[in-house]
Amino acid sequence: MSEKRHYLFKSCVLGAYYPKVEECLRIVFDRLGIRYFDDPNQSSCTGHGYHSGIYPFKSTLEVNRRNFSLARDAGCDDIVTSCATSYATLKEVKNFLGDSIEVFHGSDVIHKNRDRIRGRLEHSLEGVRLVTHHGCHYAKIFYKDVKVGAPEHPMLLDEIAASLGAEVLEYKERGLCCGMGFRHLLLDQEYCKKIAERKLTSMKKVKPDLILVHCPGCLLTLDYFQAILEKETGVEFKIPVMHYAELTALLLGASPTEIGAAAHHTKIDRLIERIKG
Amino acid sequence: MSIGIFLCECGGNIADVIDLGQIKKIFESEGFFVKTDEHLCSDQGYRLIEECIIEQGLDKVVIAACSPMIHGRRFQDVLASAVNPNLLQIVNIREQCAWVHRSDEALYKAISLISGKVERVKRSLPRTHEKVEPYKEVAVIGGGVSGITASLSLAKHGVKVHLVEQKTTIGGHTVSIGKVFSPDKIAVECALCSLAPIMSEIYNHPSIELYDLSRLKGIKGSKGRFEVEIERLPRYVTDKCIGCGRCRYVCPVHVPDECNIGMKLRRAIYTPFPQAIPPIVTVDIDSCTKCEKCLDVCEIGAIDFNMQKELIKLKIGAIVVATGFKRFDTNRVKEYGHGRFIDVLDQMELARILAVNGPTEGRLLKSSDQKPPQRLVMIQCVGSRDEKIGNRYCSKICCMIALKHACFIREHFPETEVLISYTDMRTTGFFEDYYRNAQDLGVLFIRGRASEIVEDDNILLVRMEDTLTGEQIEIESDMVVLSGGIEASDGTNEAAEILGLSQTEDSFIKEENPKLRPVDTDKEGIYVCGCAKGPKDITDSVIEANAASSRAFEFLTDEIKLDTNDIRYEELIGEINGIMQWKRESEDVILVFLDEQVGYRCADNIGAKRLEYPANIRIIMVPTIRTITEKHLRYALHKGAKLILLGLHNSTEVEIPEDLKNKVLTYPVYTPYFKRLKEVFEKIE
Amino acid sequence: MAIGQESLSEVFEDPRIEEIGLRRCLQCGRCTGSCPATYVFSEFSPRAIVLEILEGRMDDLLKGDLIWACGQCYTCHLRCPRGNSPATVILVLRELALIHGYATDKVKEIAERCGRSMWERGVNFYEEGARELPVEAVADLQEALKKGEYDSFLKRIGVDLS
Repeated sequence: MSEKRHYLFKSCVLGAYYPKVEECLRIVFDRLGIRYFDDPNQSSCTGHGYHSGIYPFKSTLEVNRRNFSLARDAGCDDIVTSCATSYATLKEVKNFLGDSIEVFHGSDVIHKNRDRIRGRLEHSLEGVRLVTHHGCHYAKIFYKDVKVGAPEHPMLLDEIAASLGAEVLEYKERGLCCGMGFRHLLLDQEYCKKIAERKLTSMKKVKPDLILVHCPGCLLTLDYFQAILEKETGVEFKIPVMHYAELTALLLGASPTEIGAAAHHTKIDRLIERIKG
Repeated sequence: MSIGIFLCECGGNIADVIDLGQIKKIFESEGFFVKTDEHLCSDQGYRLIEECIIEQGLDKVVIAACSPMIHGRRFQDVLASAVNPNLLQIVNIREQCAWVHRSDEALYKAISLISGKVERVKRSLPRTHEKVEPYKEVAVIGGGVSGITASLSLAKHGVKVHLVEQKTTIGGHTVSIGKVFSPDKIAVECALCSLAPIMSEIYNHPSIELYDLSRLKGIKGSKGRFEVEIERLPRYVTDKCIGCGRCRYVCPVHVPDECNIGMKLRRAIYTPFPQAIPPIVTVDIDSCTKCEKCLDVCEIGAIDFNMQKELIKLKIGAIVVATGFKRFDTNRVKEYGHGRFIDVLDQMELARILAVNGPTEGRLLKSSDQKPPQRLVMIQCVGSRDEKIGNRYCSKICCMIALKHACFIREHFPETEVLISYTDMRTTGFFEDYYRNAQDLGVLFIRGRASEIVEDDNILLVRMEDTLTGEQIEIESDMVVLSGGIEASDGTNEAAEILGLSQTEDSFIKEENPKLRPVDTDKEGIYVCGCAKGPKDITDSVIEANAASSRAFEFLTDEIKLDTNDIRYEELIGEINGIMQWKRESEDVILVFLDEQVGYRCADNIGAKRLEYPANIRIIMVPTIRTITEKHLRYALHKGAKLILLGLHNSTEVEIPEDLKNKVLTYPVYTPYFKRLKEVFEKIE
Repeated sequence: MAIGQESLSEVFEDPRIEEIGLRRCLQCGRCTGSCPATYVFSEFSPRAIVLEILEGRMDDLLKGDLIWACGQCYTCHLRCPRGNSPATVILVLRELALIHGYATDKVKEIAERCGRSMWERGVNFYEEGARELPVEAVADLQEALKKGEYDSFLKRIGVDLS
């Protein structure tokens, strides 16, 4: 990873549903003195739509050709994404176009800097038990690029969590998709509910205090469907779900308002109180 | 000087594409003697050439035919009494001409290639081949079943054998597998029982010298007269040891036992198993605490902590590489949970459990609670036939190993169900009967490659699709056995590197010719057998070991000529000159230099597949790329070559002068990747 | 079966198929065994879809519902021992189905919402107060989308951008 400016690639899901979480990555970068460029002209990567079947491949290529040239014009030679699907989509496009620009996920940068972060923490996750869920599009598409852990057993979030002081728990369905399902999220949602239920049930079994994710899609799915499943099946989950950027920002001293805690469907207030002491 | 040119029609392969009559006219008009024949490689063909040489008083011979890789040597040997081998050159007008170019182009190229060899041979000098007096001693590297078989066979031929084994005992993997499947009867036999007497024979044979705890360190000299260097680690016990075992009882250290895949413990001073050869204890110096209790109890004084590493030099005539295999580490397939779930094992661990001298004394018990499993699921193709983890090839023996264990379990532990999750059941030849027998015994076969194993409430769940019914299933099991594949061992890599042997993509040692010379390597006097050259079972390993022994013996008793493959500076200049003489006005000739071992064979493969490429490519074979000097490159460009391509393989590096960098290109060659080489030829402008 | 054969070659023409081992499928079933969509759609099987393609029975695939069941988790892509990727193949099939005029109803609703949001604002999801691109950037993006033939795609499936 370069020490130059990173072109921050914003997520559509965060932009629409958890806008403060997007800002959290900037808060963390500012604290660490990591340079970045936030481009208002950067468009969606089309990833969500592409995997839903509403973009021909050609459109996805052209949209991101534009995004790459924007990144270059800004003088950045790598792109750091907030979303796992952006990560995979940009990588796929870059390979097809033969573009040499490097693409990283924000959690890669946080992982690289975890010792520095640990030194600046105002609060830690001491005593907090959590489970991690790695985005499918991060670990499974460009599996050869999974450097921390293995594609079948990624340890990126686990190591970040451990450096923040948390106890990380294993659970049976660690490799299972969160259930976002792209087109399914926007239509029937039967898929989402069934898979999220499987996932959450397996997580619940080990009684975690928190679910740590690094993809906005996973954040949305696991956060949003808990209440719905409770209503439909009567089974309670009530496990807070947090994105690594908002969690890290919180631990570095940001306030619940700054991280947008209110946007969460499954309330995270009690957990925050516990962390802040 | 009188040069004769012989053109082979190759039964139409060449003559149908190239008008040999035209070539004859052109070279006859230049004063050369030219003769055409249908099949120069036939007995009649050889005699024809010989007669012409004698009648016409020819000094030098150029034969235009198929690739020199095919019959080159033979022509030189057969005609040796008529013409000195170094004054006979072969022109490849088949694999690198008639088979890859269109008629009119092929003709022109053939003329230029023949001209090249004519100019070369003009500058050749006769060479008397020195005869080599080989040392009548063979080094066998590796003491597994292959190495043992080869050693005994060679010893029985009257040759002195030096058997080099890196472990403290010979026997290889066969000692750990417990049982072997028998090719002719539906039964299993005890592996060690079959092997132990043979191991003992090795130890007692007057012609076999066993170097245990030894590795190949270096080699000098050449075929027939090698100087091999062996490094022998200290055992710390001399051969005064009578194997009474007192030292073992008093040793306070307990470490995992390798022969039992770590499932049992041994002491720091130990013997791997009772039938180990040499039958002396060993000290594992890394685990030893130097308490010296063993010294106190040894009445014979066989223990000597002052023993040092030895460097032994041997004079060797031929070498047999029998370095065996390495088991694929099934821990790498994370989704199967080996290493995470205690009741997920691999077949070798199961073999140890089922063995009477294993951790459970042959009782089928789970590692978790020492109870017999109710349902055992075996998963095939772990690390084999897999482009993601492990190897692309099929490891050949895993289906039979699974059946061997499955049948045994069903017969001896009938309360345990056995299921096999397979992609294909590869039970070739008479092994089909084993498959049938397994079915009779109630082994259940489910077709599908298992996706993952998860654990729920201490039950293992094997998730997969039963592809024959299309149903998603989750098999509850309390013991899962992974049929892991086999790969090239570290010893194989070491031997290949030290001896300079070619390896395949998968690091196995490459044979000289997989069909006709399957135990020869590309180095004369060095042979390979067993799993060092690819996965196989014991039967095939023994067969190859006997073959390698026979080939090594042939080599030592036949006449060995020291060949000088070098091409002299002038000869190469001549060949370049001869080819470039025939460059046409508008033609952009591209000279390609390929080495004999790899690059040239790669180019031949393009021809064997009949893939077309532009005919302005002219290939020159050199012994190695390092033969080519800067002067040769400049000469070639000066003579009108548009570009030069050097085919590099392995880690060959060449230095190209700055000013030539845009005219002299390099390309990494590898014999199987001939399609890519063809593409390079096509795109090279 | 004319359309079957024609669209079979269309599948192999897609550049994404070159990279993967589609023809090398062993029908080993690892993909289906790993697939979460099978928990929800009992008829869905990535292995079966690949078989349908290789055996030329494209017609039903393109006209049917199955290729729309996939949740695009790429577990099959990760686990295939032959380097095949049913998830990628399914995206190719989805594109082909739409080109042939089938399955418009499968995407119209989403395209109406998200495709339009992209065209007008440059983001996939738009809620009140959400991020959107500045006007000049949107115009610039639309040029890129036109270059990628997105406007004609949307028109074909019945999303009127005017």
